[in-house]
Amino acid sequence: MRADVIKKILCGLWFMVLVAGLNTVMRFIDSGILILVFLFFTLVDLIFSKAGIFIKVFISLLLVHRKYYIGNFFNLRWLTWLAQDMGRDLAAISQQGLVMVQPVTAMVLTLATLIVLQTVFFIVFKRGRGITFFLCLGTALLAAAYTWQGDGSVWYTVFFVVLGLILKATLPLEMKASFPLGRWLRLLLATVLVLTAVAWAMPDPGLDFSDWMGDGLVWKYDPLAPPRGKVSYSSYDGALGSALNDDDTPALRVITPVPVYLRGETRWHYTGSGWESPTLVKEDSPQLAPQHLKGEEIDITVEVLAAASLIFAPRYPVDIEVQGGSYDVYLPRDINPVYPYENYKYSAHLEEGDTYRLSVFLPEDDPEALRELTSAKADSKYYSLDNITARVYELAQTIVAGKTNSYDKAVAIASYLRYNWDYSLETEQPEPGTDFVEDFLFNRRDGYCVHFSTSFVVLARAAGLPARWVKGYSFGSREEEGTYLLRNNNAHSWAEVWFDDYGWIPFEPTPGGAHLRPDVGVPPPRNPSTNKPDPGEEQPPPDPGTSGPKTETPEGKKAVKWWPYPVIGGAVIALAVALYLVVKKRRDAIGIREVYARLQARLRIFGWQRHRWETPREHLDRVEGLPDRPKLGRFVRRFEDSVYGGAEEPPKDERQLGRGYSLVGLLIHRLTRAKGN
Amino acid sequence: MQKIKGLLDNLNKVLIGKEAVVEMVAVALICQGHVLVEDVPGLGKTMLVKGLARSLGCKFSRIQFTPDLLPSDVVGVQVYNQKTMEFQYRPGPVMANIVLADEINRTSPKTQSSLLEAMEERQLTVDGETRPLPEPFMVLATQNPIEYEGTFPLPEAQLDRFLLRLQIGYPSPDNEVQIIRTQEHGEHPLDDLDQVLSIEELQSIQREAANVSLSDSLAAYIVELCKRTRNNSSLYLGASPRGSLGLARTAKALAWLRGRDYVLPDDIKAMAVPVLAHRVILNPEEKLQGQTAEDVIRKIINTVYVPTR
Repeated sequence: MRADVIKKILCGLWFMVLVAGLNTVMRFIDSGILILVFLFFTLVDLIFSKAGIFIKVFISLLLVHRKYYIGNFFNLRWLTWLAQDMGRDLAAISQQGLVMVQPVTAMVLTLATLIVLQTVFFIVFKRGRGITFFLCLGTALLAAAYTWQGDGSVWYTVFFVVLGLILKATLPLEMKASFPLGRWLRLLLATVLVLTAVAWAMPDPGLDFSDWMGDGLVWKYDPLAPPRGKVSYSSYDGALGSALNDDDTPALRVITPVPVYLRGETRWHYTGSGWESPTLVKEDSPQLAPQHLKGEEIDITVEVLAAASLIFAPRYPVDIEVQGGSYDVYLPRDINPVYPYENYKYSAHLEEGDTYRLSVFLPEDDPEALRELTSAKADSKYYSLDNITARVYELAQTIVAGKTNSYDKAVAIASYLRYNWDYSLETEQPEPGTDFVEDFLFNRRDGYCVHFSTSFVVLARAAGLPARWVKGYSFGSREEEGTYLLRNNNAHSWAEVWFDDYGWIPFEPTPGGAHLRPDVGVPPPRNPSTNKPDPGEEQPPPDPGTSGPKTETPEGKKAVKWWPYPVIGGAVIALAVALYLVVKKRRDAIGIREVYARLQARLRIFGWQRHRWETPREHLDRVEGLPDRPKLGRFVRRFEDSVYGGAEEPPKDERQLGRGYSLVGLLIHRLTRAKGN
Repeated sequence: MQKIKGLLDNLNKVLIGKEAVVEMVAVALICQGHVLVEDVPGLGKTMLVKGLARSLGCKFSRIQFTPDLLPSDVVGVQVYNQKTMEFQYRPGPVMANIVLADEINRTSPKTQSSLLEAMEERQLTVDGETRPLPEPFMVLATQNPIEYEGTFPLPEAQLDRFLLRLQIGYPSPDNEVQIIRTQEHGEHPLDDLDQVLSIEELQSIQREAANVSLSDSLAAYIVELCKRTRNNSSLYLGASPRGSLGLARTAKALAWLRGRDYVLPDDIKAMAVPVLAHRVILNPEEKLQGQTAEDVIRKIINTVYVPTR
C-alpha cells in the first residue's frame, strides 16, 4: 500500500478518535453505527476525492430514511416529515437543551457534523497545514465535552493528543496522489450504491429474511451463548435483562394524528430480579376518561398485524371499539386506585387483520403546573422500598439533591439515567442473588429500556416518589403521514410517576440512541399561533369551553414552533448555494492538466485513452473519431503549451471541453458511432 | 523563420518527396552537427549537399573516399614556396563549409580519422600547426550499406561523432516520375537555386534554436530513453550521454523548425531514431534475426512513458 494512503488512513483514524470521543459525551448515535458510517465515509473520501461529499450526504439520507421513515425513498415527502421532526426538535433544543432531542434529529445532526468536520479536516490537510490547528481545536472540543459531562472522553483526549503529535511529527503531508485501485473501487462502490439504493427504495414487502434462514444461520450465532430472545412485547417480567436480538416483525399499524406511546400493562412490585404480575379482577362497568384534566380528544385506529391478547392504548382511552373481536377490562386486585381508568388492562383476543378504534384523551401536561403538585396520595404500594439496596438508595438521594418538587426530581432521575448509561441489547441477566437494578447501575452500565425504566422506578421510589413500571409500544416508524408501523422492535417500557390530583405522568429514562422517542412525560413545545387547517401533529389542544382547535391558547408559549421551518429552510438553501459555489469555484480552479487527466480517465472507460507512451498529439491523431475534434485539438495545444512550454493556465473557456466530452456525451458518441475508434 | 523556409523549399526542389530527410538535414545544420547518410548510390545525396551549399551561398567541396586516399588529400599539405622560402599551407578539400564525404567507409581508418578529427574539433592540425575550419562547418558523409567488400567500417567511437544518421530511401513512383520530368530537358533544379540564407542569419537561427525551452520532465524523458538503450537485452552497447545531449539539441532545433519555442515529446520521438540508432550496437543474435538498431529504438520509444505533468 502506498505511503500516502496510509497517511490518509492515519489521519482518518485520528479524526475518528475525535468523533468517537465527542460521541461518548453526546451519545447521539450508537458507536458501532458511527464507526461503520465513519469508515464508509473515509472509504468514500479515499476513492472519490471530489464528489465524495454528495455521496456522503446521499448515504446519510439513505440511512436516516431507512431507520425512521418507511416507504419509497424517491417519494420525497419523507423529507418534509424529516424537516418537521427536526424543526420541532430544534425548537425544543432552543427551549430545553439537548435533553429533548429525538433520535432522528440526533442522527441527522451527528451525520451532518461528521460530514462537515470530515470535509473541513481534509480541506485543512490538503493545504498541508493545520495539524496544529486541528490538534488544538479537537483537544479543546474534547476538553469542553469532558468538563461538561465529566465522563468517558478523557482517554479519547489523551489518545487524540498523542496521535496528533505523532502525525505532526511524521507528516509533511502529500495528499495529492490518487488511490491506486481508484477506478475499480469507484466502479464497485457505485454499483453497490446503486443496488443498495434500488433495494432500499423499493416498498417494503414485509418479508423477514430471518424466517427463511432460521436463527441458527444468523452470523451472530454462538452455540455457547445462552439462548437469546427477540425484542417483542411479552407479559412475563419475572427475570429481566437477558440479551435480545432485533426483531422487525410488524406488530401493529397505528393511524394517529399525533405519535403516541401505547400502554399495555403496568407493574408495581419489584422483586429484585423483575416485576411481579399482579392479580387482576374483571371490571364490569369501567369508568373512562378523566374529568379533571385539560386536553383534547383524538381518534386513533390500530390495525393488528400479529395476533395479540391486549389492546394497546395511550394514557386515557375514552372509548374503545373493537372490530372483529371483543375485549374485557381488568383492574389489579389489591390496589386502591384514585383514578381507576389509569390502571385498566384491556384484554382481548385479536387476530391478524382485526382493528380497533380508540378515542383518546390527550392531557396537556404542563411542567409548570406539575411542579406545583405533590406526590403523597398514591397507593402505598407505589412507595414500596422492597428490594431496594442501600447503594441505590444513596444514589437516588444524590441525584435528587437540591430538587424541591416531585417533577424536577423525576426529570433529574430520567436525565441522569439517559446521560450516564449506554443503550445496548447485548446484555446478560445478573447472577442469581444479585439485584437487577444495582447490577445495572453499578456493574453493567449498559442495557435496554427495561434496565432504564426499572432503574428509574426504583430510584424514584428511593427518592420518595410514587412510581410504577409501564410496558407497551413506542412510536414506531412513519409509513404515511399519520400512519405508524410498530414492529416488535418498538416494544418498550417506561415509567410513570404519580402526581396528586392529577394522575400518572410518564417519564422516559431510556436514552434516545436506538429507536425511542425520549420526550414522553414532558409536553412537546407548542405553537398555538400556527393556523394550519389540517389537524396535524402537535396542534395545540383546544381550551375546554372555547370554540375549536384553531383558537389561540392564552398561555405564554407562543412563537416557538413556526420559526424553525424558515430557519431550517433558509439554512438548507444557504447551504445548497454555498455548496454550489464551492463546487463551481473548485471546478473553475481546476488546472488544464487536471482537466486533461480527467478527460483521459473518461476516455479510458471507452478505450479511447492515451497510451502512456503516446504523446498527446499522437493520441489525438490516433483517435480520429472523437466528437468535436477541432476543439479537442485546440485543447491539446493549450495543454502542451502549459505542460511542455511552461505557459500560464489558459482562460477558463480554453480549459473546458464541451458536452461531447462528459461521460454522457462520450457514451452517446460511442452508441451513435457503431464502429468505435 | 522565413529564411529557413526558403532553405527547405530549395532542398525539396532538389530532393523531391523527401521532406522528412530535408527537415533532418536542416536540424543538423541548425545544431551544427554532422550527418551520416547511409544509403545506396543515386538517391540524390550529392544533390542534397550541393543544394544546401548553394542555398547558404557558402563553399562546398566533395571528397570521394577511396582505399588509397591519404590524410593529406583530405586536410591539405604544407608545400615549400621557393619564392618566399617558406612552407605554405595548401588547404585540402575539407577546408570548406559543407563537405560531402562520399563513401567514407572505403578509405583506410587513418584517413577516416583525419576527417573525423576535423569534424569533432572543428580545426585541423597540419604539420603541427593548428588551423580553424570555416564557420559553418558541416560534413555529410555517405556510406553504402550493401557492399562491404574492401570497406573499413567506421568504429563505434567515430560513428558517435555524427549527430544524425539518415536514410534517404527510394522515392515514391509519383515522385520518381516528377524527377524524370524536371530533368527531361537537360536542366537541373540545382541550377535555379539562389542563396536564401547568409552565414550570419544561420548563426542567429542557431542561437534562437538553442534558446528553445526543454521542460524538466522532457529532459528526464530523454534521459529515460537513453537509459533504456543501456539496459536493453537486444543491445550490446547503449547510447552515450553524448546521445542524450544530441537528442536534446536536435529536439530543440526541430521544435524551432516547426515554429515552437518549447520542445514537445513528439520532437524527441521524431529525433530518437536518427540520433540514437547509430550510437548503439545490436547483439549479434538480434542482428542474425534481421533486427536493426532502428527497430530496437522504435520499440524502446513505445515503452517509455511520455510525461504529461
